[in-house]
Amino acid sequence: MAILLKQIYIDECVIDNPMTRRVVEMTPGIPHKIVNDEDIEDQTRGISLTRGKRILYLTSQKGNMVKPCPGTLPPYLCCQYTIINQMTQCPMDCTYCVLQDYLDRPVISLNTNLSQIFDSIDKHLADRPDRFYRFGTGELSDSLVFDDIVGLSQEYARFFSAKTSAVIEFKTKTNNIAQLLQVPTRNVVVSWSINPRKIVKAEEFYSASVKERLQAAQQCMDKGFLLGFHFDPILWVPDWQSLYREVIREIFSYVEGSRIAWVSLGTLRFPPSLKRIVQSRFPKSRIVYQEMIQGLDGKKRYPKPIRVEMYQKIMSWLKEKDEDLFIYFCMESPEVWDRVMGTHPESNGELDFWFARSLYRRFPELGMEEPQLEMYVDM
Amino acid sequence: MEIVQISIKEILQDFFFCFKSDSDLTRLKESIQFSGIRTPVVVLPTKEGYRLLSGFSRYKAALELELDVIPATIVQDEMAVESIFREVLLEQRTIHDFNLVEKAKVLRILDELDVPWEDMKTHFLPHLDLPANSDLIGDVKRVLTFLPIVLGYIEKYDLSLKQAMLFKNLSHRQQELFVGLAMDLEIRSVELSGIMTMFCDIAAREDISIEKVFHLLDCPSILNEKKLTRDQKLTRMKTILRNRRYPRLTSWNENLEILRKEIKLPQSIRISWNRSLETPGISMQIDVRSVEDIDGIMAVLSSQANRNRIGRMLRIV
Repeated sequence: MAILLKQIYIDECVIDNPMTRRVVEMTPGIPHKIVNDEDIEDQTRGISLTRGKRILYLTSQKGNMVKPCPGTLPPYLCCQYTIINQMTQCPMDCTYCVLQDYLDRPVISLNTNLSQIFDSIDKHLADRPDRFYRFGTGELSDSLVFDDIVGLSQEYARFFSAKTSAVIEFKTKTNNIAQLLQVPTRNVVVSWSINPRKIVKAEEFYSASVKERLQAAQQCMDKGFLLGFHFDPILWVPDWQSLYREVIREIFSYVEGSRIAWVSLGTLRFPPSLKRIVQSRFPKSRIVYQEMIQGLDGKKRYPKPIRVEMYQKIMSWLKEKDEDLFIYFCMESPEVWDRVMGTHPESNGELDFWFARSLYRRFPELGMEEPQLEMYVDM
Repeated sequence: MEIVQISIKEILQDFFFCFKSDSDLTRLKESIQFSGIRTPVVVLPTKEGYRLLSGFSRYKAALELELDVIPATIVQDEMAVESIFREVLLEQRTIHDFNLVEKAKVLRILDELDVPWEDMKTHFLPHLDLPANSDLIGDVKRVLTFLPIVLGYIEKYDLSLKQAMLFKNLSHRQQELFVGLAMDLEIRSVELSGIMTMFCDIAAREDISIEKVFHLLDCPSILNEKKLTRDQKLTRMKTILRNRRYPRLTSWNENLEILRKEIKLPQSIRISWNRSLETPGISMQIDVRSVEDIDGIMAVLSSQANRNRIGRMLRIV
């Protein structure tokens, strides 16, 4: 995906970093410029997000990049995922992407200080060795979009392969898996955000097609990786039923349910301030004009009866394919859980425990200790 | 500078430097009639005549009073125009806050004078209470591309830039439509912004023009309905817009309303729910003033038919 880049800025502090050297070596046709803190502010001040998405800035960040996923406010439940914000911003351009509103800096920043991140992860694991962690690099960017030039997946896969109480998830909308196929598969979940092809075409610009994503998923499965699928955001369109049913059928024509670690479902939600951005950047998109209410966390979302109907249908189609799939909702209310699943986790901690329990039961190869609820919730 | 008397006829009427909106001249004219024009206007000589730099109200009053001459100071040095304009601006700034249209006019004048961005930032933008943000300055200037009727509305209700930007992507016909609506119903900017957003959202979702939505929802007949008060018209307009914008939500709420009515609650019981349907369940508020009230309430709530209705309500919410 280096093809998407038009300019690379290199913070003078990281010129000699091995990751910097690798990026420079792998991007011969792209102009590089060495800058300091002030230069980068000058060079990027006032540039549009569309332009910023074509600029990669290699730098070293001081703050903690490993932190709990901010999730959303109660009563909506979240899964206590731990995010690694090594890269922020994304060269792909999805109409619904909340990063358009969330991130201040339009350029893609990549922190080259990997050892600092690994130290933080180790500290997390050492603080609570009695529980299982799910880490992910795909919250503020796409995990694999620059993997061909940065090769981060290899570093992470090697690091996590030695762990006994954690997995790393690479969440992507690409088929950029060549680097990944050369590394240990233990404790790695490769997951794809997935939507029907009509939606991908209209709303997810510069991303891989559904077919490309699923072919990549199949290759990863064959190699031995665990897989994940994220139906997030699920978009309401008049023909959503046939579209989502079809894409689910397609997924299972490429991969086996028994290798899917988890599937998430989450209908479209966004802070109200995103609406103007979508209107301005994607005037053809109609996603912000559907019937939406202001949720109890202040975010716009479809009214509950619509969400419940969509979840019920999509879940039934998934379960038709594999009854044993671990399916969860991202940022949904206990009531929606009840209406669709017949039960709900009592807390975010319990949902976290459900993940660990499912992984322990379904994937003995992870070599996990049997998870105990009290390690995940405040009793 | 020397004060001279110049002929009113020699002053150009292009009002190039005028950024202040028209105001009532009655008191000024009275003052001029009583004691004449004490403060001279400032003019710049051009080949065609004198161009006014400051003193537009005095000049207009003098015209209306059919005076032949007016006291003026003549700026001889063209280079000094920028600094004199800045002084004029500062003088006005101490008298009143500029509204958005006036700020836009000042920016247009500065553009015409080719004032460099650095000078704008240092000498002018602070007087206008505008940040040195080129996008935002561009938006302020864009206000002058709106129809005069919109500018009038912006000035009348002192709209902020964000509120004025609602008109940004609208055609002239659409601007007329919305300002007409706002003036007819005396709607202030915040309320108008909500109504315009609904019109625009409906048009975008249904892929039709805003004008078509206006007619599809029969808005002209609501506006022309003589029997309705202003508040009734506004309520009706908002209701039809909301129903069209949120058809399913409206239908669920209507069904809930029907069920609530069917339960035939005594006055002492009130059932309510969150209309966004996001909060689970329904709320029931019961007033008890005597023991007998409890029997009546129990009778209503324990009837099988009503239990079924409440069950149906709960399934919706």
